[in-house]
Amino acid sequence: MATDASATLDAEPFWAGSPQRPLYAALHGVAAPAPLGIVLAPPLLAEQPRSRRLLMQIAEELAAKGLPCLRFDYFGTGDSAGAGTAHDVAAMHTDFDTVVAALRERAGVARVAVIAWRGAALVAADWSARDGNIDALVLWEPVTDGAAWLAELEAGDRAERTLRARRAPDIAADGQLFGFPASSSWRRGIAALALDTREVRKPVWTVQRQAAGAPPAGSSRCFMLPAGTPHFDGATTMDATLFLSRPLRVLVDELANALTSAAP
Amino acid sequence: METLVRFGPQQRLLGILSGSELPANAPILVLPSAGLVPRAGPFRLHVEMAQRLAARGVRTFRFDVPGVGEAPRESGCDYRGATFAALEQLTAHHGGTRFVVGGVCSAADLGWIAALANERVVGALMLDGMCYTGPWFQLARIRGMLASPRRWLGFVRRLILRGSGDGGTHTTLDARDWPTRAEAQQQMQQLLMRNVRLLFIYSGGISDYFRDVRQFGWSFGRAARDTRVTMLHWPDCDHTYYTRVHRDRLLATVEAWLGTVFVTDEETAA
Repeated sequence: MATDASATLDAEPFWAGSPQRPLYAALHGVAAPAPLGIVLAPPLLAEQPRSRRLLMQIAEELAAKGLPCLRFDYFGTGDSAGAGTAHDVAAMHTDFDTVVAALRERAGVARVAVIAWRGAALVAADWSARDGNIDALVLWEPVTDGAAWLAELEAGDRAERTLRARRAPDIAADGQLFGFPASSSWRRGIAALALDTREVRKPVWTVQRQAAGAPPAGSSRCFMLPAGTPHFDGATTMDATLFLSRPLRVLVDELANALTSAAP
Repeated sequence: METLVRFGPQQRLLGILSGSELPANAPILVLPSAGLVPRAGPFRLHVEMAQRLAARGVRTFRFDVPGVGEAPRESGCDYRGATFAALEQLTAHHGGTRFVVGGVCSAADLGWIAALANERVVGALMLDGMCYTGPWFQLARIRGMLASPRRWLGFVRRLILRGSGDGGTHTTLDARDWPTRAEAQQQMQQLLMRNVRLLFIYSGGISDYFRDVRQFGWSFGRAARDTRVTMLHWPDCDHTYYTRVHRDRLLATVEAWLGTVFVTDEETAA
């Protein structure tokens, strides 16, 4: 894996990890030394491409506030190497190790926070509670019950298949969820997780909707999403793209200020 | 092996070139992002295509057009400009001499435009690309409506909405920038004069403009029957190839077609 030019780009794209297991990554904002860097962990399956531009815009916003930000694709997803069937919870743990190390090395930051979206928040909390070497974790609309989420995904996928393949009703389940590979290992791993951030032993914050109720146990601070923020999940059409709206930008700025001033 | 390639105005656009281990002049399939879907393609189709084609000696280059995925909107060029810039970069710095350009929907439109503009483009991949409605489409539509009272009611409802100016008649076509039918016929002749190969696959997800294979001949005239033009109609597939079996069929078909394009092109060059 290589990069062919050195001219200016808004972010510095690169391959993180070993040549045998390269992850596509992009680093935003490393012009000046910073005390804290941020890893943005994208949501999973169809929510990942749908939110790609939103995460890029959030990275730009955080970088403009002086926080170097690293975006990436999990192994077997997006532009990273690997087959989609190689993507599961264990592989994501390895991916988190890889990108946190890459951020420390490239941005020269001593402290790292991870902002993880939806299903990735569930996995990031599990990774962080085990051995994740980070200083803070922000859970953005976290999935809290892996088994319930998987059941929801499977039901949604069945409905989507019926809608799309109405002329070929004999198409059986093919190991995919919402068009993306979801191996039995992926399903088992997700179904076994339930969010409990008390084990993380690092500051955990939550970004959620007003209607979501109480934040997860162990979350010490909660940021409320502005009303009307688009959903990541099946409530949004498959081909949609999420953008950073003005109200959401205000929230991201608030989050950046809080991370800068309150991070350990 | 894949390489990150910057290109376009101020080098602010980014694409990924697969097959770094292949000969420096290996042919390249160029895949612009389609619609609002990032460059990895619908359900990662472009990445899977890259992995398969590398084994066949074909490189791929996937990139986000301005305003999609990671590509800045203010890059100083539109979708066409970005595609032309990608071809220039690949020609100047990556040994690109023969390209096939295209993809799904708007990417197919870019494939057609690139083939007309750049003589190094030897093929266009037209997945739900241009086609014109006309009598065969209308006949198929009426036949469909007569077979289903629900569709008939929908047709009446659309007529009423159209009459009330309620804007209920927007279709996929409103977002596409196609030449007139006469121009398209002329352009296909022009491409065939250059020996450009064309693969058209129409899915079942574009029933607002394609319902009958006879539309293809009506749209493109005599050129549609040329042996260098392949047309397939897969009504069982949706526009983005959601199911694994449909995506596998597409990958195998494109892989086989590219083999014929590039082999034939090499023979012609020899």
